[in-house]
Amino acid sequence: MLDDTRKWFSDRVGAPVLLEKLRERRVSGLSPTHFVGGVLLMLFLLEVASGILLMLPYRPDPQHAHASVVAIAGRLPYGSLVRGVHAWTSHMFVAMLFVQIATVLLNRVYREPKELVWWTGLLLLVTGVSMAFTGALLPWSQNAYLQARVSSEMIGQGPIFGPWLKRMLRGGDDITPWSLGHAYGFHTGVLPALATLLFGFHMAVVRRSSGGPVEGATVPVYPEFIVRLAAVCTAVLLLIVSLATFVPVAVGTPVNMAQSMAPAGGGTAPSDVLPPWYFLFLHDLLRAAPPRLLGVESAKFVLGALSVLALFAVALPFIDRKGSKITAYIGAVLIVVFLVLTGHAIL
Amino acid sequence: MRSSEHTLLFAASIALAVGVASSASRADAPPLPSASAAAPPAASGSAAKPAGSEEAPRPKRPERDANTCFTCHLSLPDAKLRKAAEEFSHSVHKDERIGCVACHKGNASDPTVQAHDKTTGFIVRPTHAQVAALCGGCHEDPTFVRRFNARLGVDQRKLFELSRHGKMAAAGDAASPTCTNCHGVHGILAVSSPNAEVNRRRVRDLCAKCHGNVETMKPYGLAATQPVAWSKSVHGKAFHEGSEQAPTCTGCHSPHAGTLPGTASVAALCDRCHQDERELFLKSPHSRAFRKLGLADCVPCHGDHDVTRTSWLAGMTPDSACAKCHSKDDKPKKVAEDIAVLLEDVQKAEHAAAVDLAEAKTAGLLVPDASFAVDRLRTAKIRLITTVHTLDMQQLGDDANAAKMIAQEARDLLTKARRDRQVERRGYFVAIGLASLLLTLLVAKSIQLARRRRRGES
Repeated sequence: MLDDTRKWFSDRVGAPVLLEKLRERRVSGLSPTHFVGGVLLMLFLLEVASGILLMLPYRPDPQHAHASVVAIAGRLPYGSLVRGVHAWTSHMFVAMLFVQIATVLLNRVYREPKELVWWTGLLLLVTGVSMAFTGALLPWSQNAYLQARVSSEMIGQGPIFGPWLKRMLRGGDDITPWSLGHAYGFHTGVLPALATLLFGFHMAVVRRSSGGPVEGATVPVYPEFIVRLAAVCTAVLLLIVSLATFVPVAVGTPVNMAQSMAPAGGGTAPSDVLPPWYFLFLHDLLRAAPPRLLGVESAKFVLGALSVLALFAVALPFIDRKGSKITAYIGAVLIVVFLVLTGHAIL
Repeated sequence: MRSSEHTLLFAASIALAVGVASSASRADAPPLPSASAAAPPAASGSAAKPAGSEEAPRPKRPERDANTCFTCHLSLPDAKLRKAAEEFSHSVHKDERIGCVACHKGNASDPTVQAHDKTTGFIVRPTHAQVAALCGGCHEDPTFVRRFNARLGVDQRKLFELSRHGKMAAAGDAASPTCTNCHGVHGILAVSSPNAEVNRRRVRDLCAKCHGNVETMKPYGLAATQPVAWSKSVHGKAFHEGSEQAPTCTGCHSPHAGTLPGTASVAALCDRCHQDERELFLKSPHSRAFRKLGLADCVPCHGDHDVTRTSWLAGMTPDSACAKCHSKDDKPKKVAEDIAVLLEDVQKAEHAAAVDLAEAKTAGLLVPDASFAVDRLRTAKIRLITTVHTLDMQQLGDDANAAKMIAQEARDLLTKARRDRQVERRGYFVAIGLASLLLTLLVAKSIQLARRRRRGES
């Protein structure tokens, strides 16, 4: 009976052909990039699913945004769970993106023929962080508002595109009620669409570029690797659902524009407001730096240095053609610096 | 031919772009400092003209434009002589049509020291007695005042003369305050300016300069306790917490007239904000009794500058408002005690509901309906406090019951939310159990697959 059904389907879908191909394909059984990549895909799908659920009751206008999030968290059945899953998954997603980039950097697998994999990966990192960043503003709480203000102010210090990017993110010169519409549009439309395209392209190039037999690749993709990946994904899912259940994500008090606008000039935000954790390293750097570095405002200097670093990362496949260990060492140092700064800012 | 045309066009567009850019940068530039804004346009007129404009220079109007007093005093080496001009540059009067001569007379269009000649009517320093008349010279003239601010009143001097301050000044008391004591001399600011001492946010401190000083008040037989008493009152506390509605000194005392003529007590003003309380009070047995005893309606219980919330002090404890008049064996004693019990019950119910709500919030349980109920409970409590003014026990009992029912509603909603949360948690544990089972199966399967593969390889 079961076999009959399976045959009925496979005759029409042609699944066995695909499965046979996957059976023949071999990967290294413990390749971290494959696992993290798989988990990232699962997290992305989870974000899309929970995000669509949250879109239904959410009202993206400043008058109702906060109240609707309170209603989601308080009144709707399983609303707080869905919201918790969405929020915790976003943190996990950004963290996993960092892990993936770090792994690739340390293993130097950005080299030919994987340049496109590396570049789409970098773009995915930017898109992922942007998604988390724009989503954080949507509850329209005082804290989210101030966080968004601090973070976008930092982005605005970037060279050349900084001020433009800041205006783009804010939908104006400051965080105003219009910023909410901007953030909502980016968070639910532009960025997920971009991420979907990038994911598809990324995986397609991963498949193409890892064509030949790789040393140590002994595990067939189907069923063994997929079963392993499913186990890892289930474990991550367990963690997220547990976090969402037992560590509630606060909604906070609604935005009080009058209070926030109080410091004239609007540029400075209260110093006790921290940006989201993935920007903490920057915050820490800026706080520790003297007001001016090499005759430039230190914020501009640090953001400029980071931009140079980003350009360096983009050009990496050409710079490091032979796979010298030096880039791996530099990468390792950068990762340690990031971890130490973030840790320091949290503590 | 064609190319030269192009060159011409190019040059013209460059010129246009430069012109636009330069005028745009002028528009973006910060406004000129107020000192130069008050300077005669003869000096700044040409600079303010946009570059490349063909407009003819504005004809000078010496009778309006010249304020040589200001420009000269601003450049004097003696700081004492410069100070007046410097202060004036920030003032609301810095408009060139008012200028120094409005008060000091003299000749503003004469740039030499002859401008101070006594024949021009020049006054060095107007005397205390002259000030009110000097200010009134403009501020009593509606057609003049209307040119600057159509909403500004013209009765300040008349009201001032009705006030005790004004009467003291008329009697020749040089220590009494006149216009300049509160508004300043050269640096007079609009009342709406946050830097003005007469501004709502600062006026208490201004009044307290004299009314908070025991030595200053002694000759007039006044206490100097009012500013401190106000700060401790419900009004003062609300003000210090940032309320925009809380009355400061000028909320009850007319800024220029002081006490309103014909009013015996401040109680005549309370109903400007507290209408319901007064209306209910007038229907109560207290109203008639107070009139008979010559007591001001609100003051015996609530005080004046130190307005306190006596509502929660109802009852017969030594510091309660009721005990001030009613003795222990008085007939109204029972009413006072009953009211105290009702108020305390509602207070307790409200507190319990608020604590319950806060605990739920800390546990991550958001119950919007319950927080709405707690808000409604607050309204019901205020209604009850208002009803106290009637002394109508029937009505008070009803209001107290209504409040207690809302408190119960909030508690019920919270209990229900907690139960729902527990059900959700149970669902969570079932889901976790199933997922763990799945995880175990997947791990087992992958181990099995790995073993099978290794066997196949070997």
